[in-house]
Amino acid sequence: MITLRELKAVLKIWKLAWAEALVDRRAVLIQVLALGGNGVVWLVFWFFFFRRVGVIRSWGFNELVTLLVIAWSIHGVVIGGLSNVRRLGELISTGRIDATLALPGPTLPFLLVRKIDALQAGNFVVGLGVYIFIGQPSLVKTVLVSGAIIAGSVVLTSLLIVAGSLSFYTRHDAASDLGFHAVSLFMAYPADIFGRGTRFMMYAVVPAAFVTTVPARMIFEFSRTLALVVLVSAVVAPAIATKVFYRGLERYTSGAVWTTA
Amino acid sequence: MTNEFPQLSRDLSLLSRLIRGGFVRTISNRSLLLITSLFYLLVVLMLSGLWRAAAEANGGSVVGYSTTALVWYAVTTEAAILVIPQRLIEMIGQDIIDGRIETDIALPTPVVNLRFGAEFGQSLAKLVAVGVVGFIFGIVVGGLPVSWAGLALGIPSLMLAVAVNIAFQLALIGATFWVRESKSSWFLQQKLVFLFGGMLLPLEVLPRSLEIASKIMPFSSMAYAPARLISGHVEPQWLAIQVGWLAVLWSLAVVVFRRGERRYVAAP
Repeated sequence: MITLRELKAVLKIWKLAWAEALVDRRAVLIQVLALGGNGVVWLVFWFFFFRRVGVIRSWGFNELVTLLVIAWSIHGVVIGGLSNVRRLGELISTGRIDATLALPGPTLPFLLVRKIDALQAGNFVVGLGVYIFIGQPSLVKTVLVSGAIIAGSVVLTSLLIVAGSLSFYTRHDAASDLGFHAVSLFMAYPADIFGRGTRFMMYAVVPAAFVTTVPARMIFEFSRTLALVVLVSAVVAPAIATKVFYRGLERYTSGAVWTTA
Repeated sequence: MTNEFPQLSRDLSLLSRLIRGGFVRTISNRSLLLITSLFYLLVVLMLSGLWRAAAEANGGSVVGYSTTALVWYAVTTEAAILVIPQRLIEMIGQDIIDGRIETDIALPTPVVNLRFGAEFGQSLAKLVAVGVVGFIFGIVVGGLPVSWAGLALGIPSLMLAVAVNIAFQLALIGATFWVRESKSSWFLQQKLVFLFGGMLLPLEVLPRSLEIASKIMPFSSMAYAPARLISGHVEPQWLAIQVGWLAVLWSLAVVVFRRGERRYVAAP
């Protein structure tokens, strides 16, 4: 369990990481605009898709927009704000987390907050922009969307920690890299649209459906059961991820490489 | 003219050796092929699953493509795109910015040939791996190919798609000599192929005017053309269109690089 003092230190490091990432603001702005272009391409794709095929298993364009808003915002929060979570496998397999091990606090939170990817964080801005302009915002919906983003971010971070921790056992980052790509891919699509086999993969094997599909459904067809599922997944996932990481850490051998991770 | 022929012959011979070298190097890298194939499998699973669901919800077909045809369409477009290094523009662009391109400029053969040969050889090796995976996936999930003639035409078209894509990327990379930035070009190219190249959706799904415009643009030669053929549409004219775009884009890349190199060498 992290103490208040350690939490303050973690937040301080995170703040410094943000300051470092935003040094070249003009470049960041240009790249965020490019991300906006990416968002437009996906919106256009889904618009034409649903225009041609109609609603599939209760998913239409509006529902998809909700999912994309959540997916992009979560991507921005997690891959942008906790950038090391995407590189965890690489850092572990190359023995480059020594610097964090030497810090007087829990390794995992310190490791996660040390790097910011400003470009990826821009996805949050894109998600927010899409929500404001075509997400039909309302007070209740905004509360639900915020809850979905927080819960989804916790689940995504947990999944990526588990994927990265595979490197403690495999000693290379290929498996964790594949895990990252699988999660990123699965969270961009509504799981319910697919056939049984793919749905099983998205709910049980690489449970990315709990990052976006379930929270999105909670927004457009709210029920207490769905809200409970979202809440439980946001509690259970980090507990499992923390356990997996620290179990793996016992097997970690230093690469004798002193970096800032 | 008489001096140009031996030079052209030397360039072509070097190009074929570079392609062979890139191919052999990559085909022996089993872990790279395995990871590429697994990632490809994931992407194809998603995209074909999406289109199968769409076809099922629409009485078994979408814009004239049956469920089987849509599976083969997804299998082909993803193969054409995923075998090319995702950050090719960024990597070579960075070589230009950092000055590492100098060693290539010093060699007695066009830089475009050097880079194209290596990248095309590597991509072909990956194409063999994902081709096998895709073929099995297509048969298991979608069923036998809709037309064997389409498949036979689609294989060379797939190779041409990769070549056209690399040539286009090289032409774009050339701009780095002037603007000293390459990331945004990569982003732009990728998104254009996603939508107007038919990577995510058959171009017939787009409104008629956009469909026609997309078919005229070079992006359709990078993904849509082989996918159209392999999904059972025997339209050999796509091969001619691809060869045409390859010639245009290759020439463009050579011209842009030549001018960029001159500017580079002239700079203090």
